[in-house]
Amino acid sequence: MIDIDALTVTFGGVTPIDRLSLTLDGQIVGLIGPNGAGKTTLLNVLSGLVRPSAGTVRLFGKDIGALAAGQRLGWGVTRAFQTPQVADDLTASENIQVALDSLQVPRAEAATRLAETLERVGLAGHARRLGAHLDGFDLRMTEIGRCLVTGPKLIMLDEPAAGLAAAERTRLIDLLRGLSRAGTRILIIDHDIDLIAGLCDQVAVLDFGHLVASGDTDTVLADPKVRAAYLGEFEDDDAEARAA
Amino acid sequence: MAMSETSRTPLPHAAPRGFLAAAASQHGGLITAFFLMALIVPFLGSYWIKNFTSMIAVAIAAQGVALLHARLGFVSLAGIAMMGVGGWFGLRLAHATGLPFEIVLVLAALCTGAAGVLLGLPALKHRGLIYALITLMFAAGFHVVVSSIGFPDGGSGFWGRIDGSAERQLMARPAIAASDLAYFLYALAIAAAAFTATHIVTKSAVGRAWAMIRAGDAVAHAAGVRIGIARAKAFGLAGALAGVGGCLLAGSIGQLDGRSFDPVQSLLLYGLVIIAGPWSLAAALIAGFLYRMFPAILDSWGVDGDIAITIFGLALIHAIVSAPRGIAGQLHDLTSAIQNRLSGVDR
Ligand SMILES: Nc1ncnc2c1ncn2[C@@H]1O[C@H](COP(=O)(O)OP(=O)(O)OP(=O)(O)O)[C@@H](O)[C@H]1O
Ligand SMILES: [Mg+2]
Repeated sequence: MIDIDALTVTFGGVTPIDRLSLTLDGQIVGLIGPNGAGKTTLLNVLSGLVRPSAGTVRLFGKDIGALAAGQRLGWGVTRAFQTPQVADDLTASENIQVALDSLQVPRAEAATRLAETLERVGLAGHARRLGAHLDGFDLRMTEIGRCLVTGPKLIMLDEPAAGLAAAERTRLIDLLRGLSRAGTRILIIDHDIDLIAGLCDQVAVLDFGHLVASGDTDTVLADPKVRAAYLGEFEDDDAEARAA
Repeated sequence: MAMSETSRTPLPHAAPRGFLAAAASQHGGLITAFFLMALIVPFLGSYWIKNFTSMIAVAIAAQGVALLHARLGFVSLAGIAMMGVGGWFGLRLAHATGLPFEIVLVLAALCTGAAGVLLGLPALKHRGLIYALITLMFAAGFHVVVSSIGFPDGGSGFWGRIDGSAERQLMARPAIAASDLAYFLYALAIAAAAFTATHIVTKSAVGRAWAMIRAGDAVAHAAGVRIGIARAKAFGLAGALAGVGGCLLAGSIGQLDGRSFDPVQSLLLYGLVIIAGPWSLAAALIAGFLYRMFPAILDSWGVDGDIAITIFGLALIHAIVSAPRGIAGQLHDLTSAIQNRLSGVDR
Protein backbone atom coordinates (compact mmCIF):
# COMPACT_ATOMS: atom_id res chain seq x y z
CA MET A 1 0.00 0.00 0.00
CA ILE A 2 2.99 2.33 0.49
CA ASP A 3 5.44 2.52 -2.41
CA ILE A 4 8.30 4.96 -2.12
CA ASP A 5 10.79 5.41 -4.90
CA ALA A 6 14.07 7.32 -4.72
CA LEU A 7 12.65 9.75 -2.18
CA THR A 8 14.91 12.58 -1.06
CA VAL A 9 14.10 15.32 1.42
CA THR A 10 16.49 18.16 2.10
CA PHE A 11 16.18 21.05 4.52
CA GLY A 12 18.96 23.49 3.73
CA GLY A 13 22.09 21.42 4.30
CA VAL A 14 20.36 18.53 6.06
CA THR A 15 19.19 15.46 4.14
CA PRO A 16 17.01 13.50 6.56
CA ILE A 17 15.82 11.19 3.78
CA ASP A 18 18.28 10.21 1.09
CA ARG A 19 17.17 8.33 -2.06
CA LEU A 20 14.91 6.07 -0.08
CA SER A 21 13.06 3.29 -1.87
CA LEU A 22 10.67 1.21 0.14
CA THR A 23 7.54 -0.89 -0.21
CA LEU A 24 5.32 -1.73 2.72
CA ASP A 25 2.10 -3.70 2.69
CA GLY A 26 0.03 -5.09 5.50
CA GLN A 27 -2.88 -4.38 7.82
CA ILE A 28 -0.55 -2.74 10.32
CA VAL A 29 2.95 -1.72 9.25
CA GLY A 30 5.73 -0.34 11.40
CA LEU A 31 8.46 2.20 10.88
CA ILE A 32 11.36 2.08 13.32
CA GLY A 33 14.82 3.51 13.64
CA PRO A 34 16.97 5.48 16.04
CA ASN A 35 16.38 9.14 16.89
CA GLY A 36 16.85 11.39 13.90
CA ALA A 37 16.54 8.52 11.44
CA GLY A 38 13.97 10.41 9.37
CA LYS A 39 10.80 8.60 10.48
CA THR A 40 8.76 11.69 11.26
CA THR A 41 10.05 13.37 8.12
CA LEU A 42 8.84 10.43 6.06
CA LEU A 43 5.44 10.66 7.73
CA ASN A 44 5.39 14.38 6.98
CA VAL A 45 5.98 13.58 3.33
CA LEU A 46 3.26 10.92 3.30
CA SER A 47 0.76 13.31 4.87
CA GLY A 48 1.65 16.17 2.55
CA LEU A 49 3.24 18.51 5.09
CA VAL A 50 6.72 18.29 3.62
CA ARG A 51 7.40 18.40 -0.09
CA PRO A 52 10.17 16.04 -1.16
CA SER A 53 13.04 17.37 -3.25
CA ALA A 54 12.97 14.26 -5.41
CA GLY A 55 11.29 10.91 -5.77
CA THR A 56 7.74 9.63 -5.81
CA VAL A 57 5.33 8.36 -3.22
CA ARG A 58 2.41 6.10 -4.03
CA LEU A 59 -0.35 5.18 -1.63
CA PHE A 60 -2.73 2.42 -2.64
CA GLY A 61 -1.22 2.61 -6.11
CA LYS A 62 -1.83 6.33 -6.60
CA ASP A 63 0.93 8.91 -6.95
CA ILE A 64 -0.09 11.42 -4.29
CA GLY A 65 2.69 13.93 -4.86
CA ALA A 66 0.30 16.56 -6.19
CA LEU A 67 -2.25 16.29 -3.37
CA ALA A 68 -2.16 18.92 -0.61
CA ALA A 69 -2.44 17.77 2.99
CA GLY A 70 -6.14 18.61 3.17
CA GLN A 71 -6.85 16.68 -0.03
CA ARG A 72 -5.07 13.63 1.35
CA LEU A 73 -7.40 13.78 4.32
CA GLY A 74 -10.38 13.76 1.98
CA TRP A 75 -8.81 10.89 0.07
CA GLY A 76 -8.58 8.77 3.21
CA VAL A 77 -5.06 9.32 4.54
CA THR A 78 -4.76 10.85 7.99
CA ARG A 79 -2.11 11.21 10.63
CA ALA A 80 -1.41 12.02 14.24
CA PHE A 81 1.65 13.85 15.53
CA GLN A 82 4.58 12.81 17.69
CA THR A 83 3.69 15.57 20.15
CA PRO A 84 -0.12 15.56 20.24
CA GLN A 85 -1.41 18.63 18.46
CA VAL A 86 -4.64 19.52 20.16
CA ALA A 87 -6.13 23.01 20.32
CA ASP A 88 -6.16 24.11 23.97
CA ASP A 89 -9.33 26.13 23.68
CA LEU A 90 -11.45 23.60 21.84
CA THR A 91 -13.13 20.73 23.60
CA ALA A 92 -12.07 17.15 22.89
CA SER A 93 -15.17 16.81 20.76
CA GLU A 94 -14.49 20.00 18.78
CA ASN A 95 -10.87 18.95 18.29
CA ILE A 96 -12.17 15.84 16.55
CA GLN A 97 -15.02 17.56 14.73
CA VAL A 98 -12.64 19.93 12.99
CA ALA A 99 -11.52 17.17 10.62
CA LEU A 100 -15.12 16.72 9.46
CA ASP A 101 -15.60 20.42 8.77
CA SER A 102 -13.62 20.33 5.54
CA LEU A 103 -15.29 17.20 4.22
CA GLN A 104 -18.82 18.44 3.59
CA VAL A 105 -20.39 15.68 5.63
CA PRO A 106 -24.14 16.27 6.16
CA ARG A 107 -24.84 17.65 9.61
CA ALA A 108 -26.76 14.67 10.95
CA GLU A 109 -24.20 12.19 9.72
CA ALA A 110 -21.41 14.30 11.15
CA ALA A 111 -23.08 14.25 14.57
CA THR A 112 -23.46 10.47 14.45
CA ARG A 113 -19.89 9.93 13.35
CA LEU A 114 -18.59 12.27 16.01
CA ALA A 115 -20.50 10.47 18.75
CA GLU A 116 -19.32 7.07 17.50
CA THR A 117 -15.73 8.25 17.33
CA LEU A 118 -15.79 9.72 20.83
CA GLU A 119 -17.15 6.40 22.08
CA ARG A 120 -14.53 4.43 20.20
CA VAL A 121 -11.54 6.35 21.50
CA GLY A 122 -12.96 6.37 25.02
CA LEU A 123 -13.58 10.10 25.19
CA ALA A 124 -17.37 10.07 25.45
CA GLY A 125 -17.08 11.03 29.11
CA HIS A 126 -14.62 13.86 28.42
CA ALA A 127 -16.12 15.13 25.19
CA ARG A 128 -16.72 18.62 26.55
CA ARG A 129 -13.39 18.94 28.33
CA LEU A 130 -11.08 21.57 26.84
CA GLY A 131 -7.86 20.47 25.19
CA ALA A 132 -5.94 22.44 27.83
CA HIS A 133 -7.35 20.14 30.51
CA LEU A 134 -6.86 16.76 28.84
CA ASP A 135 -4.18 14.41 30.16
CA GLY A 136 -1.51 12.82 27.96
CA PHE A 137 -3.49 9.73 27.06
CA ASP A 138 -6.65 11.69 26.27
CA LEU A 139 -4.61 14.01 24.06
CA ARG A 140 -3.38 10.99 22.11
CA MET A 141 -6.89 9.65 21.87
CA THR A 142 -8.21 13.03 20.72
CA GLU A 143 -5.71 13.01 17.88
CA ILE A 144 -6.53 9.44 16.95
CA GLY A 145 -10.21 10.39 17.08
CA ARG A 146 -9.53 13.25 14.68
CA CYS A 147 -8.00 10.71 12.31
CA LEU A 148 -10.78 8.16 12.70
CA VAL A 149 -13.75 10.47 12.34
CA THR A 150 -13.02 10.94 8.65
CA GLY A 151 -13.37 7.21 8.02
CA PRO A 152 -9.84 6.83 6.65
CA LYS A 153 -8.26 4.08 4.57
CA LEU A 154 -4.92 4.65 6.28
CA ILE A 155 -4.01 6.26 9.57
CA MET A 156 -0.43 7.10 10.41
CA LEU A 157 0.63 7.38 14.04
CA ASP A 158 3.90 8.87 15.24
CA GLU A 159 4.98 7.22 18.51
CA PRO A 160 1.46 6.90 19.92
CA ALA A 161 2.61 4.74 22.83
CA ALA A 162 5.30 7.15 24.03
CA GLY A 163 4.77 8.07 27.65
CA LEU A 164 1.74 5.86 28.18
CA ALA A 165 1.19 3.81 31.34
CA ALA A 166 0.85 0.05 30.92
CA ALA A 167 -2.94 0.08 31.12
CA GLU A 168 -3.18 2.90 28.61
CA ARG A 169 -0.81 1.10 26.28
CA THR A 170 -3.09 -1.95 26.41
CA ARG A 171 -6.10 0.20 25.55
CA LEU A 172 -4.21 1.70 22.63
CA ILE A 173 -3.27 -1.76 21.34
CA ASP A 174 -6.87 -2.95 21.65
CA LEU A 175 -8.06 0.09 19.75
CA LEU A 176 -5.55 -0.39 16.95
CA ARG A 177 -6.33 -4.11 16.64
CA GLY A 178 -10.03 -3.31 16.47
CA LEU A 179 -9.46 -0.72 13.75
CA SER A 180 -7.31 -3.08 11.79
CA ARG A 181 -9.94 -5.82 11.97
CA ALA A 182 -12.48 -3.32 10.67
CA GLY A 183 -10.29 -2.75 7.61
CA THR A 184 -8.38 0.44 8.39
CA ARG A 185 -4.70 0.22 7.48
CA ILE A 186 -2.30 1.59 10.06
CA LEU A 187 1.27 2.87 9.81
CA ILE A 188 2.88 3.13 13.21
CA ILE A 189 6.19 4.69 14.19
CA ASP A 190 7.45 3.67 17.60
CA HIS A 191 10.55 3.01 19.61
CA ASP A 192 8.66 0.35 21.56
CA ILE A 193 9.86 -2.76 19.74
CA ASP A 194 7.53 -5.07 21.64
CA LEU A 195 4.59 -3.00 20.51
CA ILE A 196 5.79 -3.10 16.89
CA ALA A 197 6.55 -6.81 17.07
CA GLY A 198 3.15 -7.55 18.54
CA LEU A 199 1.11 -5.45 16.11
CA CYS A 200 2.79 -5.20 12.74
CA ASP A 201 2.76 -7.50 9.71
CA GLN A 202 5.61 -5.65 8.06
CA VAL A 203 8.29 -3.30 9.31
CA ALA A 204 10.81 -0.92 7.76
CA VAL A 205 13.91 0.19 9.61
CA LEU A 206 15.48 3.56 8.83
CA ASP A 207 18.80 4.95 9.88
CA PHE A 208 20.20 8.32 8.80
CA GLY A 209 17.59 8.53 6.06
CA HIS A 210 18.53 5.18 4.56
CA LEU A 211 16.68 1.91 4.60
CA VAL A 212 18.36 -0.66 6.83
CA ALA A 213 15.84 -3.42 6.24
CA SER A 214 12.20 -3.98 5.45
CA GLY A 215 9.79 -6.88 5.12
CA ASP A 216 8.00 -9.29 7.43
CA THR A 217 8.28 -8.24 11.03
CA ASP A 218 9.91 -11.40 12.41
CA THR A 219 12.52 -11.51 9.65
CA VAL A 220 13.40 -7.85 9.94
CA LEU A 221 13.67 -7.84 13.71
CA ALA A 222 15.96 -10.86 13.59
CA ASP A 223 18.28 -9.15 11.09
CA PRO A 224 21.73 -8.50 12.62
CA LYS A 225 21.97 -5.12 10.86
CA VAL A 226 18.76 -4.04 12.54
CA ARG A 227 19.95 -5.25 15.88
CA ALA A 228 23.15 -3.29 15.36
CA ALA A 229 21.22 -0.13 14.54
CA TYR A 230 19.33 -0.55 17.79
CA LEU A 231 22.49 -1.41 19.71
CA GLY A 232 21.33 -3.16 22.84
CA GLU A 233 17.98 -1.44 22.91
CA PHE A 234 16.15 -4.71 22.64
CA GLU A 235 18.91 -7.22 22.39
CA ASP A 236 18.26 -9.11 25.56
CA ASP A 237 14.62 -8.79 26.27
CA ASP A 238 12.76 -9.04 22.98
CA ALA A 239 12.91 -12.81 22.74
CA GLU A 240 11.35 -13.29 26.14
CA ALA A 241 8.89 -10.50 25.55
CA ARG A 242 7.63 -12.06 22.37
CA ALA A 243 7.54 -15.48 23.91
CA ALA A 244 5.42 -14.13 26.75
CA MET B 1 8.75 24.91 2.48
CA ALA B 2 9.32 22.51 5.32
CA MET B 3 6.82 22.55 8.07
CA SER B 4 7.87 20.35 10.90
CA GLU B 5 5.23 19.43 13.39
CA THR B 6 6.96 21.47 16.02
CA SER B 7 6.52 24.75 14.12
CA ARG B 8 3.56 25.97 16.13
CA THR B 9 2.25 29.36 15.10
CA PRO B 10 4.10 31.75 17.36
CA LEU B 11 1.44 33.32 19.51
CA PRO B 12 2.84 35.37 22.36
CA HIS B 13 -0.60 35.95 23.75
CA ALA B 14 -1.95 32.42 23.85
CA ALA B 15 -4.95 32.03 26.10
CA PRO B 16 -4.01 31.36 29.67
CA ARG B 17 -5.18 27.99 30.89
CA GLY B 18 -8.12 27.85 33.22
CA PHE B 19 -9.52 31.05 31.89
CA LEU B 20 -10.55 29.16 28.78
CA ALA B 21 -13.01 27.06 30.67
CA ALA B 22 -14.33 30.14 32.33
CA ALA B 23 -14.75 32.04 29.07
CA ALA B 24 -17.71 29.89 28.18
CA SER B 25 -19.71 30.79 31.25
CA GLN B 26 -18.65 34.39 31.15
CA HIS B 27 -21.23 36.00 28.95
CA GLY B 28 -23.58 36.46 31.89
CA GLY B 29 -21.72 39.61 32.87
CA LEU B 30 -21.84 40.96 29.34
CA ILE B 31 -25.57 40.37 29.03
CA THR B 32 -26.10 42.07 32.40
CA ALA B 33 -24.07 45.06 31.21
CA PHE B 34 -26.25 45.41 28.12
CA PHE B 35 -29.43 45.30 30.22
CA LEU B 36 -28.06 47.77 32.74
CA MET B 37 -27.18 50.22 29.98
CA ALA B 38 -30.64 49.88 28.46
CA LEU B 39 -32.16 50.60 31.89
CA ILE B 40 -29.90 53.36 33.16
CA VAL B 41 -28.71 55.37 30.16
CA PRO B 42 -32.23 56.65 29.30
CA PHE B 43 -32.19 58.53 32.62
CA LEU B 44 -28.93 60.30 31.88
CA GLY B 45 -28.74 63.57 30.02
CA SER B 46 -28.32 64.02 26.30
CA TYR B 47 -24.52 64.48 26.68
CA TRP B 48 -24.18 61.05 28.24
CA ILE B 49 -26.62 59.37 25.90
CA LYS B 50 -24.57 60.54 22.89
CA ASN B 51 -21.35 59.42 24.55
CA PHE B 52 -22.81 56.01 25.28
CA THR B 53 -23.89 55.71 21.65
CA SER B 54 -20.35 56.45 20.47
CA MET B 55 -19.02 53.99 23.01
CA ILE B 56 -21.28 51.25 21.63
CA ALA B 57 -20.11 52.02 18.09
CA VAL B 58 -16.46 51.83 19.16
CA ALA B 59 -17.14 48.61 21.09
CA ILE B 60 -18.42 46.91 17.94
CA ALA B 61 -15.23 47.85 16.06
CA ALA B 62 -13.16 46.79 19.08
CA GLN B 63 -14.74 43.35 18.82
CA GLY B 64 -13.02 42.99 15.45
CA VAL B 65 -9.66 44.05 16.90
CA ALA B 66 -10.09 41.57 19.76
CA LEU B 67 -11.06 38.83 17.31
CA LEU B 68 -7.94 39.30 15.20
CA HIS B 69 -5.74 39.39 18.27
CA ALA B 70 -7.22 36.50 20.22
CA ARG B 71 -8.33 34.13 17.47
CA LEU B 72 -5.66 34.77 14.87
CA GLY B 73 -2.75 36.27 16.76
CA PHE B 74 -2.65 39.32 14.50
CA VAL B 75 -2.17 42.83 15.82
CA SER B 76 -4.40 45.31 14.03
CA LEU B 77 -3.46 48.91 14.66
CA ALA B 78 -6.15 50.19 12.31
CA GLY B 79 -9.28 49.62 14.40
CA ILE B 80 -10.48 53.22 14.44
CA ALA B 81 -9.32 53.78 10.85
CA MET B 82 -11.45 50.82 9.73
CA MET B 83 -14.35 52.39 11.61
CA GLY B 84 -13.66 55.48 9.54
CA VAL B 85 -13.77 53.36 6.39
CA GLY B 86 -17.13 52.01 7.55
CA GLY B 87 -18.35 55.53 8.26
CA TRP B 88 -17.18 56.65 4.82
CA PHE B 89 -19.08 53.84 3.10
CA GLY B 90 -22.14 54.51 5.25
CA LEU B 91 -22.19 58.23 4.50
CA ARG B 92 -21.42 57.78 0.83
CA LEU B 93 -24.12 55.15 0.34
CA ALA B 94 -26.70 56.99 2.43
CA HIS B 95 -26.25 60.28 0.54
CA ALA B 96 -25.98 58.63 -2.87
CA THR B 97 -28.89 56.21 -2.59
CA GLY B 98 -31.19 57.47 0.13
CA LEU B 99 -31.76 53.83 1.08
CA PRO B 100 -33.13 53.04 4.55
CA PHE B 101 -30.52 53.11 7.32
CA GLU B 102 -30.66 49.36 7.90
CA ILE B 103 -29.76 48.61 4.29
CA VAL B 104 -26.98 51.19 4.31
CA LEU B 105 -25.67 49.56 7.50
CA VAL B 106 -25.55 46.12 5.89
CA LEU B 107 -23.93 47.44 2.72
CA ALA B 108 -21.36 49.42 4.70
CA ALA B 109 -20.58 46.28 6.70
CA LEU B 110 -20.08 44.28 3.50
CA CYS B 111 -17.88 46.94 1.87
CA THR B 112 -15.79 47.38 5.01
CA GLY B 113 -15.58 43.61 5.37
CA ALA B 114 -14.11 43.48 1.86
CA ALA B 115 -11.70 46.26 2.82
CA GLY B 116 -10.79 44.19 5.89
CA VAL B 117 -9.95 41.21 3.70
CA LEU B 118 -7.73 43.45 1.56
CA LEU B 119 -5.98 44.78 4.63
CA GLY B 120 -5.52 41.14 5.66
CA LEU B 121 -3.67 40.25 2.44
CA PRO B 122 -0.24 41.32 3.74
CA ALA B 123 -0.83 38.83 6.56
CA LEU B 124 -0.26 36.07 4.02
CA LYS B 125 3.40 37.00 4.12
CA HIS B 126 3.91 39.05 7.24
CA ARG B 127 3.04 38.58 10.83
CA GLY B 128 4.03 39.99 14.19
CA LEU B 129 5.49 43.46 14.27
CA ILE B 130 5.69 43.86 10.49
CA TYR B 131 1.99 43.21 10.02
CA ALA B 132 1.16 45.52 12.92
CA LEU B 133 3.19 48.29 11.28
CA ILE B 134 1.45 47.72 7.96
CA THR B 135 -1.92 48.25 9.62
CA LEU B 136 -0.61 51.33 11.42
CA MET B 137 0.61 52.76 8.13
CA PHE B 138 -2.80 52.10 6.65
CA ALA B 139 -4.35 53.99 9.56
CA ALA B 140 -1.96 56.89 9.00
CA GLY B 141 -2.64 56.92 5.25
CA PHE B 142 -6.38 56.84 5.80
CA HIS B 143 -6.08 59.78 8.16
CA VAL B 144 -4.12 61.83 5.63
CA VAL B 145 -6.62 61.15 2.86
CA VAL B 146 -9.77 61.61 4.89
CA SER B 147 -8.62 64.77 6.62
CA SER B 148 -7.68 66.42 3.35
CA ILE B 149 -10.69 65.28 1.33
CA GLY B 150 -13.23 64.97 4.12
CA PHE B 151 -16.05 62.50 4.65
CA PRO B 152 -18.99 62.54 2.22
CA ASP B 153 -21.55 65.16 3.15
CA GLY B 154 -24.12 65.00 0.41
CA GLY B 155 -22.17 66.32 -2.57
CA SER B 156 -21.78 64.60 -5.91
CA GLY B 157 -18.84 62.86 -7.53
CA PHE B 158 -16.88 59.96 -6.14
CA TRP B 159 -15.95 61.69 -2.91
CA GLY B 160 -19.47 63.02 -2.31
CA ARG B 161 -18.28 66.39 -1.03
CA ILE B 162 -20.38 69.54 -1.04
CA ASP B 163 -18.43 72.34 -2.66
CA GLY B 164 -18.68 76.05 -2.09
CA SER B 165 -21.50 77.49 -0.08
CA ALA B 166 -24.06 74.68 -0.30
CA GLU B 167 -25.11 73.34 3.05
CA ARG B 168 -23.62 70.08 4.30
CA GLN B 169 -26.15 67.30 4.67
CA LEU B 170 -26.48 64.95 7.60
CA MET B 171 -26.90 61.21 7.31
CA ALA B 172 -30.47 60.25 8.08
CA ARG B 173 -31.05 58.10 11.13
CA PRO B 174 -33.33 55.06 10.98
CA ALA B 175 -37.02 55.95 10.91
CA ILE B 176 -37.65 54.11 14.16
CA ALA B 177 -34.75 55.74 15.99
CA ALA B 178 -34.74 59.42 15.23
CA SER B 179 -34.24 60.73 18.78
CA ASP B 180 -30.90 60.46 20.59
CA LEU B 181 -32.31 58.03 23.12
CA ALA B 182 -34.04 55.84 20.55
CA TYR B 183 -30.86 55.83 18.50
CA PHE B 184 -28.83 54.75 21.52
CA LEU B 185 -31.18 51.82 22.14
CA TYR B 186 -31.05 51.01 18.44
CA ALA B 187 -27.22 50.97 18.52
CA LEU B 188 -27.33 48.82 21.64
CA ALA B 189 -29.54 46.28 19.89
CA ILE B 190 -27.23 46.23 16.86
CA ALA B 191 -24.25 45.72 19.19
CA ALA B 192 -26.02 42.83 20.90
CA ALA B 193 -26.65 41.27 17.49
CA ALA B 194 -23.04 41.86 16.39
CA PHE B 195 -21.62 40.34 19.58
CA THR B 196 -23.96 37.36 19.30
CA ALA B 197 -22.95 36.85 15.68
CA THR B 198 -19.27 36.98 16.64
CA HIS B 199 -19.88 34.42 19.36
CA ILE B 200 -21.74 32.12 16.99
CA VAL B 201 -18.98 32.33 14.39
CA THR B 202 -16.26 31.54 16.92
CA LYS B 203 -18.26 28.46 17.96
CA SER B 204 -18.77 27.32 14.36
CA ALA B 205 -16.54 25.49 11.91
CA VAL B 206 -14.80 28.79 11.18
CA GLY B 207 -13.93 29.25 14.85
CA ARG B 208 -12.69 25.67 15.05
CA ALA B 209 -10.46 26.33 12.06
CA TRP B 210 -9.02 29.43 13.78
CA ALA B 211 -8.31 27.38 16.90
CA MET B 212 -6.50 24.73 14.85
CA ILE B 213 -4.37 27.37 13.15
CA ARG B 214 -3.40 28.65 16.59
CA ALA B 215 -2.48 25.12 17.60
CA GLY B 216 -0.08 25.00 14.64
CA ASP B 217 0.01 25.33 10.88
CA ALA B 218 1.02 21.69 10.43
CA VAL B 219 -1.91 20.25 12.37
CA ALA B 220 -4.27 22.72 10.73
CA HIS B 221 -3.17 21.52 7.29
CA ALA B 222 -3.39 17.90 8.38
CA ALA B 223 -6.92 18.48 9.67
CA GLY B 224 -7.97 19.87 6.32
CA VAL B 225 -8.16 23.52 7.38
CA ARG B 226 -7.61 25.94 4.52
CA ILE B 227 -5.53 28.42 6.43
CA GLY B 228 -5.66 31.34 4.01
CA ILE B 229 -9.42 31.18 3.67
CA ALA B 230 -9.96 30.80 7.42
CA ARG B 231 -7.80 33.87 8.03
CA ALA B 232 -9.56 35.86 5.33
CA LYS B 233 -12.86 35.14 7.07
CA ALA B 234 -11.51 36.62 10.30
CA PHE B 235 -10.24 39.73 8.54
CA GLY B 236 -13.57 40.04 6.75
CA LEU B 237 -15.55 39.70 9.97
CA ALA B 238 -13.32 42.19 11.77
CA GLY B 239 -13.79 44.62 8.86
CA ALA B 240 -17.54 44.13 8.86
CA LEU B 241 -17.70 44.81 12.61
CA ALA B 242 -15.71 48.02 12.11
CA GLY B 243 -18.07 48.89 9.26
CA VAL B 244 -21.12 48.49 11.49
CA GLY B 245 -19.47 50.56 14.22
CA GLY B 246 -18.42 53.31 11.80
CA CYS B 247 -21.82 53.47 10.17
CA LEU B 248 -23.55 53.69 13.57
CA LEU B 249 -21.19 56.49 14.57
CA ALA B 250 -21.93 58.37 11.34
CA GLY B 251 -25.65 57.94 11.94
CA SER B 252 -25.31 59.18 15.48
CA ILE B 253 -23.59 62.44 14.59
CA GLY B 254 -24.90 62.73 11.04
CA GLN B 255 -21.44 63.48 9.68
CA LEU B 256 -17.85 62.59 10.47
CA ASP B 257 -14.72 64.67 10.90
CA GLY B 258 -11.54 63.29 9.37
CA ARG B 259 -9.40 64.79 12.11
CA SER B 260 -10.82 62.42 14.73
CA PHE B 261 -9.49 59.36 12.87
CA ASP B 262 -5.80 59.86 13.46
CA PRO B 263 -3.67 56.72 13.80
CA VAL B 264 -3.04 57.31 17.50
CA GLN B 265 -6.73 56.56 18.05
CA SER B 266 -6.33 53.15 16.41
CA LEU B 267 -3.22 52.49 18.46
CA LEU B 268 -5.10 53.49 21.59
CA LEU B 269 -8.00 51.19 20.79
CA TYR B 270 -5.64 48.24 20.38
CA GLY B 271 -4.00 49.03 23.72
CA LEU B 272 -7.39 49.20 25.38
CA VAL B 273 -8.45 45.88 23.90
CA ILE B 274 -5.30 44.34 25.41
CA ILE B 275 -6.00 45.98 28.78
CA ALA B 276 -9.57 44.71 28.61
CA GLY B 277 -8.51 41.11 27.83
CA PRO B 278 -9.33 40.16 24.22
CA TRP B 279 -10.10 36.54 25.07
CA SER B 280 -13.44 37.61 26.42
CA LEU B 281 -16.33 38.80 24.31
CA ALA B 282 -16.85 41.44 26.99
CA ALA B 283 -13.43 42.97 26.30
CA ALA B 284 -14.78 44.97 23.38
CA LEU B 285 -17.37 46.62 25.58
CA ILE B 286 -14.79 47.41 28.24
CA ALA B 287 -12.43 48.78 25.59
CA GLY B 288 -15.25 50.93 24.15
CA PHE B 289 -16.03 52.19 27.63
CA LEU B 290 -12.42 53.11 28.35
CA TYR B 291 -11.98 54.68 24.93
CA ARG B 292 -15.07 56.85 24.95
CA MET B 293 -16.57 57.14 28.44
CA PHE B 294 -13.49 57.37 30.61
CA PRO B 295 -12.24 60.60 28.99
CA ALA B 296 -15.82 61.93 29.00
CA ILE B 297 -16.11 61.25 32.73
CA LEU B 298 -12.78 62.99 33.39
CA ASP B 299 -13.95 65.93 31.28
CA SER B 300 -17.19 66.16 33.22
CA TRP B 301 -15.12 66.33 36.43
CA GLY B 302 -13.14 69.20 34.96
CA VAL B 303 -10.02 67.02 34.50
CA ASP B 304 -8.35 67.12 31.10
CA GLY B 305 -9.63 64.04 29.24
CA ASP B 306 -6.22 63.59 27.61
CA ILE B 307 -4.90 62.55 31.04
CA ALA B 308 -6.73 59.32 30.21
CA ILE B 309 -3.99 58.36 27.76
CA THR B 310 -1.39 58.48 30.53
CA ILE B 311 -3.59 56.39 32.78
CA PHE B 312 -4.15 53.90 29.94
CA GLY B 313 -0.39 53.63 29.48
CA LEU B 314 0.02 52.67 33.11
CA ALA B 315 -2.90 50.26 32.85
CA LEU B 316 -1.30 48.63 29.82
CA ILE B 317 1.91 48.06 31.75
CA HIS B 318 -0.14 46.64 34.59
CA ALA B 319 -2.02 44.37 32.18
CA ILE B 320 1.15 43.05 30.61
CA VAL B 321 2.95 42.55 33.90
CA SER B 322 0.30 41.25 36.23
CA ALA B 323 -3.10 40.81 34.57
CA PRO B 324 -2.52 38.90 31.33
CA ARG B 325 -6.20 38.03 31.13
CA GLY B 326 -7.14 41.68 31.22
CA ILE B 327 -9.93 43.43 33.02
CA ALA B 328 -12.47 40.95 31.68
CA GLY B 329 -10.52 38.13 33.30
CA GLN B 330 -10.26 39.97 36.60
CA LEU B 331 -13.96 40.78 36.58
CA HIS B 332 -14.67 37.16 35.92
CA ASP B 333 -12.54 36.09 38.88
CA LEU B 334 -14.34 38.60 41.02
CA THR B 335 -17.82 37.46 40.02
CA SER B 336 -16.96 33.80 40.46
CA ALA B 337 -15.46 34.54 43.88
CA ILE B 338 -18.69 36.29 44.85
CA GLN B 339 -20.78 33.47 43.44
CA ASN B 340 -18.75 30.94 45.38
CA ARG B 341 -19.07 32.98 48.54
CA LEU B 342 -22.84 33.23 48.08
CA SER B 343 -23.23 29.54 47.35
CA GLY B 344 -20.98 28.69 50.30
CA VAL B 345 -18.21 27.11 48.28
CA ASP B 346 -14.89 27.60 49.99
CA ARG B 347 -11.89 27.65 47.70
N1 LIG C 1 11.98 21.18 9.44
C1 LIG C 1 13.24 20.72 9.55
N2 LIG C 1 14.28 21.53 9.27
C2 LIG C 1 15.55 21.08 9.39
N3 LIG C 1 15.87 19.84 9.78
C3 LIG C 1 14.88 18.99 10.08
C4 LIG C 1 13.51 19.39 9.99
N4 LIG C 1 12.73 18.33 10.34
C5 LIG C 1 13.61 17.35 10.64
N5 LIG C 1 14.88 17.73 10.49
C6 LIG C 1 16.08 16.90 10.71
O1 LIG C 1 15.89 15.72 10.00
C7 LIG C 1 16.42 14.62 10.73
C8 LIG C 1 15.35 13.56 10.89
O2 LIG C 1 14.37 14.03 11.78
P1 LIG C 1 13.05 13.22 12.10
O3 LIG C 1 12.24 14.08 12.99
O4 LIG C 1 12.42 12.77 10.84
O5 LIG C 1 13.63 11.98 12.90
P2 LIG C 1 12.84 10.82 13.64
O6 LIG C 1 13.29 9.56 13.03
O7 LIG C 1 11.39 11.07 13.66
O8 LIG C 1 13.45 10.94 15.10
P3 LIG C 1 12.75 10.73 16.53
O9 LIG C 1 12.76 9.28 16.81
O10 LIG C 1 13.66 11.47 17.47
O11 LIG C 1 11.39 11.31 16.46
C9 LIG C 1 16.92 15.17 12.04
O12 LIG C 1 18.31 15.36 11.93
C10 LIG C 1 16.23 16.50 12.16
O13 LIG C 1 17.00 17.41 12.88
MG1 LIG D 1 10.03 11.51 15.09
